[in-house]
Amino acid sequence: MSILASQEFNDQILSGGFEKSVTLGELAERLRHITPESLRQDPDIHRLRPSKEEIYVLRLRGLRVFLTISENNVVVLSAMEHG
Amino acid sequence: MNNRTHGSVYQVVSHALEYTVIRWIKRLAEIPVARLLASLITTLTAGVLASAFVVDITVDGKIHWAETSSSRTFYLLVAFVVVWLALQLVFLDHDRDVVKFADDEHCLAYARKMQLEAVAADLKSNPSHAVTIDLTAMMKQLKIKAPKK
Repeated sequence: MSILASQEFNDQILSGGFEKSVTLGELAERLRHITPESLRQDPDIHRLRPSKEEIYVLRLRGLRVFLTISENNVVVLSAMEHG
Repeated sequence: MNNRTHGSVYQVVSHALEYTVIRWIKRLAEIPVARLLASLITTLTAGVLASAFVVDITVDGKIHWAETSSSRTFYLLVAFVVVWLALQLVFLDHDRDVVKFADDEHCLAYARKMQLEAVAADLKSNPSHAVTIDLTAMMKQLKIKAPKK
């Protein structure tokens, strides 16, 4: 499956920067079901506030994935290991 | 009394409880030493009450469980356990709030550090700046198995 992402996230994947808490396969499976509509309704996703831009955070166990919407597509901005 | 009066009495009682007992317990939850003392005292009291209950239903060195319903200490123990549970639930609720707040703050700090607002704004005005990542191909390349459905 293909996802839209920022260059930053692409670099993170290539460096294996967040593989401690969630595998790339699990992340791919989770991202596959996310649409701009579901982004606003998913209980595991919340909007980052206060923020001028529309940035959403997906909580996936110890991983926090930052998402945004561009031209009605979900774009992955970055990911961070939490805790 | 009609249903409406019952409803308003219930509301008044629940509000009174919220503003007195729950508020007081929530305040207690914010002070670690007070929490420790509250947990210590309630645990000791529960232990004493449980022992008193067992003594109450023991006749000639034998425990008579059938006497449970007639033992006053049993009802006292049940009532105390309900209070103890309520106390722990308020503490749990407080801890969840703290963890959620810390999580939100951590995410916000990370977004600021990585300047994600600027990246999001750029992707919004220039959608072509987004990179398409083929995760399936990447997983194959990195020799990662896809999760079972």
